[in-house]
Amino acid sequence: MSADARPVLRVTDLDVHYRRGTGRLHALRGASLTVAPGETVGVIGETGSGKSTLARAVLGLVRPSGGRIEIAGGDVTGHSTRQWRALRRRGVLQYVFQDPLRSLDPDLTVAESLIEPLLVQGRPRREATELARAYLDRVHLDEELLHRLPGELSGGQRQRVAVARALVTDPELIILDEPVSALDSANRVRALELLKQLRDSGAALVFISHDLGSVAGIADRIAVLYQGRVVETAPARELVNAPRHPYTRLLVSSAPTLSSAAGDRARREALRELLHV
Amino acid sequence: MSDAALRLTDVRIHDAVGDRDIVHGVSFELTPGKVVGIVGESGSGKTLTCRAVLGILPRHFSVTGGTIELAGRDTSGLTQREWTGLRGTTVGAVFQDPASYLNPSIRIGAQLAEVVRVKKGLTRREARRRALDLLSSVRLREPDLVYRQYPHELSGGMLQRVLIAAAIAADPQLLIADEATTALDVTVQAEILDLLTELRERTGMALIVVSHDLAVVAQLCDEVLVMRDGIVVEQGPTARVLYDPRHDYTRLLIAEHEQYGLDRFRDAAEPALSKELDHVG
Repeated sequence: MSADARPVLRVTDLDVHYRRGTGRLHALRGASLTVAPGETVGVIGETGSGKSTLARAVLGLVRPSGGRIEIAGGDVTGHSTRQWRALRRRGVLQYVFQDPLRSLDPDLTVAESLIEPLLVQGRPRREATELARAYLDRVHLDEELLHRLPGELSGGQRQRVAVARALVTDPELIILDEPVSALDSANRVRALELLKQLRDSGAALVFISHDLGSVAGIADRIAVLYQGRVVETAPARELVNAPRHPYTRLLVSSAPTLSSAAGDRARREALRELLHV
Repeated sequence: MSDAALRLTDVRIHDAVGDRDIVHGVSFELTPGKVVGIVGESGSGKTLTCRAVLGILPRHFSVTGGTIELAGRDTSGLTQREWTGLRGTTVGAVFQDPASYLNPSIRIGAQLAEVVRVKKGLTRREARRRALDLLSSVRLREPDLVYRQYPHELSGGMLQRVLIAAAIAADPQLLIADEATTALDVTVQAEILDLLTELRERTGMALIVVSHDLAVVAQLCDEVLVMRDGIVVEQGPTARVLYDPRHDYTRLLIAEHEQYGLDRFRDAAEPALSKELDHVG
């Protein structure tokens, strides 16, 4: 994480608009984010913050109207659909979505899902198959699941397969969009353990979520996305204990904690006035 | 006679279809201005207990034991008409999905004014004024604008404020908030919880807050009930339950927060916390 290391992801002043009927929705308004190799960056945001748009832009699924995206040193901002697909295929960049059905092809068995990216990388089938088994084991799934379709797995199992799939190509960068939000609390605890394993694999992670608590446990740094901009970035502990931006202060003092934030009511009122919410 | 807004004594709820008891004896008392929290997962019986207090148990469920007294009145044997009279005026409620309690094709103001007109017996003009007052009392920033809007034009947090306005329209002594903030962003959740606290302070209304999240309940409540599989496994003053839990399930809920919630990042214990502990100890 040295300062001069080439960032694996650099997003600079990113703007994204969506067409909405006759109007335009300004989803990102100059968002900037840098992720160093092997670093885990949490992106925290609520409804309308632009967090899913950021994930989609970084995966080439939505075209920015301004700004710049660099991945592993290369400017990918102007990439065509085909170039983006090639980039995702190469396995440099992987992703896990909230609903693992979206990150897994429903028509491919678990084995095919895991092996395909390795074949695309040019590995022999036998080696690819062995790797697939090894990664399934790493996420604590039984080998007998290899021949099932995603629809035949439980939500927790699907999430594990999605994580294994994100790992097989040994990517430099993994984008996680609300990876634990759809799970109940027991599965969430297990999934968070799994994400720590992802982090320890050496890949850089961008962990996008609305839940400060689950992000804070994994991220080296947290970026706070508010109204389409990153308004503050800081290490987890610092962000929780000494938030600077009024929105971050509101977010932290709004999070339900056992050490009771009830006494913060007056502070929250003042912050809402300041933010006009 | 007592001045309790609500008293439950060993309430049991039976499911006629499955032929089994779903809730096995819930007891607590709520005096004006007090807040009781019920924590539990889905299926714990927390929601059925609330529905029994509202007289709206689903068809094949019934209260088969114990008593529910609302404002000193035993509710067993109440007719449907009597229940309808109590709902709104004595007990109100808000739930997880506010949009489903509103008619999508009727403006907010008209729906709220109708509740006020029926429950308070006001003229249309008076009802309109009262509805506008209610919209501002739940801290909606532009009550006149909201009055003219349709449900789909409001955010989830705003809709929940409208539902709270409707629930308190006839000044009930008791308000039940059943997972009322579960679907909301955390900053919006805090807005709603702050609003409930403010309403309680201002009106002396008693509150039941139901949540799967112990931390949500802990922020607001004087007393906490932890329910699991229809049984109250733990019950006591909030600080006692949090800092000296007696049941393993409560300990599990607390451990989850300590391991995965924000608590573990807070530097040092807050002074307020140790003070509360002294109080309990």
